[in-house]
Amino acid sequence: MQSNKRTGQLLETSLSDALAKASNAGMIRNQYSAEFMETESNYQEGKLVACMSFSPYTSVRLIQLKPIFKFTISTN
Amino acid sequence: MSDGLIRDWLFTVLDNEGKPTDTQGIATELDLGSLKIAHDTDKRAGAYGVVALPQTPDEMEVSVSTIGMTEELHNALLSGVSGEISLQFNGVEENPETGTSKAIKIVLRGSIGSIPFGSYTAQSNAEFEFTMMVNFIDRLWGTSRFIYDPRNYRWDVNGKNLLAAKKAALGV
Repeated sequence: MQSNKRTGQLLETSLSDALAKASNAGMIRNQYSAEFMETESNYQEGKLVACMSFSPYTSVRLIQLKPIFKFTISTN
Repeated sequence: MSDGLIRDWLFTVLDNEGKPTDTQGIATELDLGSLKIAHDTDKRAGAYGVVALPQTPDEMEVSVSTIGMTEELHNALLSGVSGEISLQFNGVEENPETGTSKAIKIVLRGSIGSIPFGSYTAQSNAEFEFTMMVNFIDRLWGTSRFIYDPRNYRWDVNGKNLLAAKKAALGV
């Protein structure tokens, strides 16, 4: 898919969905956000940057999210 | 003075794992419905006549019509049975007098309400209509942003949650 503002917003939607799912499952607190960073992205290079903020209830070390792509985050 | 016109739009369905599926070429109608707020209209002593008191928002249903079905859209709709799916609408509001355009983005998340099997007429395009019950709204109209998240007591207007005091009092 070509990179543009809309695909950046789709990335934000996808990450937000993943965080909502994690929150509904009780994995993270309900104060979370996913934001597409347009100024830090580069459409020509196909680079999209998004910022996610969330906090877990317990001191979990790894959380796996499955949005458009799969990746693993360490909270330490 | 001229109101903005919205003629160009498209939408993408994201399945229960966040994988996007575009619907260009097959979408014909999209009715995003409305968020209806019921009112308590009982008469009360101390007021001359009914004072309508707003209650909490009712359910919201989105209806989508397409003239075709793709494998990806079919998969995405079916995935809505085991998790919420999302619909991202992107549109342009244009002012024909000034030639300026404003971006509109609406994200709706919820569970699938009906799965279409199609209405077929000989020598005509088949029609498919699916519905979705909405549990989350994020609408960006130019720079004005509204977020509605009933699970988390959120009614954000430009970043300010108008339910913050209620949420804090409840301790959720």
